[in-house]
Amino acid sequence: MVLTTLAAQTYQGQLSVSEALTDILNGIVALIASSKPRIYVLNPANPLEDLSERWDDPEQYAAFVTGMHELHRDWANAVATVGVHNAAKRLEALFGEPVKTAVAKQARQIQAMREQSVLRVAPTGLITAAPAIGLPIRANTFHGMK
Amino acid sequence: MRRQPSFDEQVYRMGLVWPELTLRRRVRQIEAVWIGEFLPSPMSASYRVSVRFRPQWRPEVRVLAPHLEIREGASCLPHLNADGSLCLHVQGEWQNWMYLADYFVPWISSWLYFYEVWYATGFWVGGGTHPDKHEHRSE
Repeated sequence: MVLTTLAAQTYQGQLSVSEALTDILNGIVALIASSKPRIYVLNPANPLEDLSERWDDPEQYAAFVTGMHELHRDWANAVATVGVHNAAKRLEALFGEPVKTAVAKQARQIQAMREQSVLRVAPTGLITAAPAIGLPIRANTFHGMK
Repeated sequence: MRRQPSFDEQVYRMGLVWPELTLRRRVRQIEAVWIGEFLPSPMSASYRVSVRFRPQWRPEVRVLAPHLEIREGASCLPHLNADGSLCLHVQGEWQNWMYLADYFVPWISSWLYFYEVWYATGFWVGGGTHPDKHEHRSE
């Protein structure tokens, strides 16, 4: 409740999940830096209620601050990583097994489009479903040693 | 029967369609080698590849950098030829009347994308031969 309220306060209507999470984490880290002795998260439905009262305990607040800084750093590293495989490894460390499932699911969707011959490739090598870009990817069967 | 493009036509078409690939070697009408970068998806690494064309032979593509790694639990990379080049097609899918630029080169992007997915998940989702091989299993 505290974290979702905090996230809602820093969310600026970004269109992608990745962009939204980046900006939310940037916003929370900035708020931590500017809020002394601590952040106050008030109930939007009842501003007299302090949802974050447990942070009156300096130990609990310090744990939150440390956790946020770590998440901010790890997420920034994951976003900056090149390679689906490398990024997946970093994201898996943050979010666990569902990352692998999501990567495979997206790849299966791409493979389904490939089988329908709707994929194209841009001059940079970028695979795309945009009909006006580059060349069609013709049917092929990956082969190789048994 | 379709007309086979000449060597010069193949080279010209490559330059036209794949400006990011640089012709690095040309031996008369015998051999041409291009080198350039491929970025198969926005999240992908950029791969430096070489494409070698010799009429009457199957075209050859190799990843020069970054080094393709074998994932934990696998004993080799999926869908490679014995010489380390990418195995992008079965016999008959590449034919002499085809333009390298239009048919063969686009397959490189698919292979690279599915390689990254394979490394991340352990599954080769791009289909192909020998689906029972450990490195080719799709689920």
